[in-house]
Amino acid sequence: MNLILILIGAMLVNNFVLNKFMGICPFLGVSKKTETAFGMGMAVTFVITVASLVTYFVRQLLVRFGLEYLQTIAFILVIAVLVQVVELALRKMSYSLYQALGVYLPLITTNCAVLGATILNVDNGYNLIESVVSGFGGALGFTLAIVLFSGIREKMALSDLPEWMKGFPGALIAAGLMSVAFSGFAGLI
Amino acid sequence: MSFKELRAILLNGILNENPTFRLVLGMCPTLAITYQASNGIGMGLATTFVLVFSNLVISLLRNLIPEKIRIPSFIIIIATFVTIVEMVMHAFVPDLYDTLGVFISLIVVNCIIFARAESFAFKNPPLPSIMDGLGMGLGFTLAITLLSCIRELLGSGTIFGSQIMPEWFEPMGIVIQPAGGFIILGLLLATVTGLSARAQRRKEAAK
Amino acid sequence: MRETIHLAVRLMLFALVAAILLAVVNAVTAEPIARNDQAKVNAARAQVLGDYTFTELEGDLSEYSEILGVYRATEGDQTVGYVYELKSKGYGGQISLSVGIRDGAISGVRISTHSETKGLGTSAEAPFLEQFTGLPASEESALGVDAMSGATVSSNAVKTAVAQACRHAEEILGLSIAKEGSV
Repeated sequence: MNLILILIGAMLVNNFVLNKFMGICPFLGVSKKTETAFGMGMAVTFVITVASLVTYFVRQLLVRFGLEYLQTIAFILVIAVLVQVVELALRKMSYSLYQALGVYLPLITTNCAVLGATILNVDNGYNLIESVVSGFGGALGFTLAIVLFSGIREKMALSDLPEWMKGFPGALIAAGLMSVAFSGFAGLI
Repeated sequence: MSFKELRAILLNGILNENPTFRLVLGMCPTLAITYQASNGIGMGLATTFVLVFSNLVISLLRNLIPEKIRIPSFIIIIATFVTIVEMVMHAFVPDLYDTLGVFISLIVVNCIIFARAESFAFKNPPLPSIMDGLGMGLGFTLAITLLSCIRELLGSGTIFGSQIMPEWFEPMGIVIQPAGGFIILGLLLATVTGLSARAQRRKEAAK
Repeated sequence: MRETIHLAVRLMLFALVAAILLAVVNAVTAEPIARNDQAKVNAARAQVLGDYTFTELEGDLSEYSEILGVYRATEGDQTVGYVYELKSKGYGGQISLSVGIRDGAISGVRISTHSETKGLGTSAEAPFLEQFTGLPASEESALGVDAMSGATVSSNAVKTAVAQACRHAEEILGLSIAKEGSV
């Protein structure tokens, strides 16, 4: 039961993008087309889930040797390696998606949602299973937000916006309205 | 390099290529912690420190870092300075450390720092790199302080914790909530875009 | 192959230098950090009860899902009161709070961290928590406090946590409850 609460909480209530402001760069950058947004979401989901698993053991190791202060540097290196793995795998498996994600693929490393998820796991004192579930839920929430948002942006691209609202300003305001909608999930858990 | 050129690099980061308003980078802390003005200054200065020192070190080591391993090397260097900032803040400004929370560690993944390392510090000598870091850092600090002042003023009626708005003003709670962050930043960006487009048109008309 | 090894060695070297640098900074800052954290914990306890020596009580807390720890406050060898540290589920996540109990009455309630909606209820928080002070340490009186308007879930989270602390004080510590109005 607790695990379900963690999953729902990470996915809807404390949505990375709309509630915690993590992963805004890809959220704004890769959300012009639904297809690439979904691909990005999947890649991030994979990285966050595996990173939650690996950093749990890294954390144990650091605590064992009293090196907690190396946490940030160790976690980000783990994530960088994972992103490399995903990049290689994608190039082999789906070259079109690899090209579509383009520059944003290496940028998963600098996606705050990934590092943020692993640090929040530590801060919340989650055990191994809780960490993985929370990471996975958060990543699904990220995917949900970015896919929904890309749908809105596809429509917005066709509408007649004033010049100064085109691009980022309009996108940010649309994201704000989405955030209002998501705040309705608060109190769910 | 002359004084004039260094000043141009510094001003470039603050105005022409302002990381928040023109490059639209580093959006996560820009939105997340700007619900009160003191957070904006604190986060801005912490980021500036990391930017200046990572730019300096990367520029000094640019001939020792092989092209192939530059990304992991950047990560190590940036993460080191972030951890230093984190420990120093935890030790000497614990209140600010508590309010900024996880976003101090997340300076590591602030795209601005990475972008400057890659596009400037890795190709330029130390002195201009420091200037670039300082300019970008101050540009970021000014932008998020402005945003956080607006949000605090509308959302709580205060700036830096002191009451500004008159008695009858009912604070707009939504402005300091996540949704308000997106909307206020969107409006601010629209204003900046609109104003600079107008300035551009004036300049062309004058020609 | 040789090149790979060369690159790896160089990267290791960078990492090593970074680790040494951090170890030095850590050595300088470790002590003030520990002092700050301790001061923060003490400040929270002092605010709900007073400035005393606190020792954690041993015991089974599995019956009390929201209690994280119970601390006995002593001055000399005299027990002055108890401080409870609790966590409760609010509207947007966990609320951490401390409750002080002294002479069968609640001496103070304070929230240390919460992730409730920012701005909502911040001005209502102080008067809400103030209501608890001086109440008899019983479940009924804790649950009878008026909620903050517009923040019912958060208010209820705080009330149930305080009520649980009172129940523990009565059932496990065997404290007698002060009569209404006697404090």
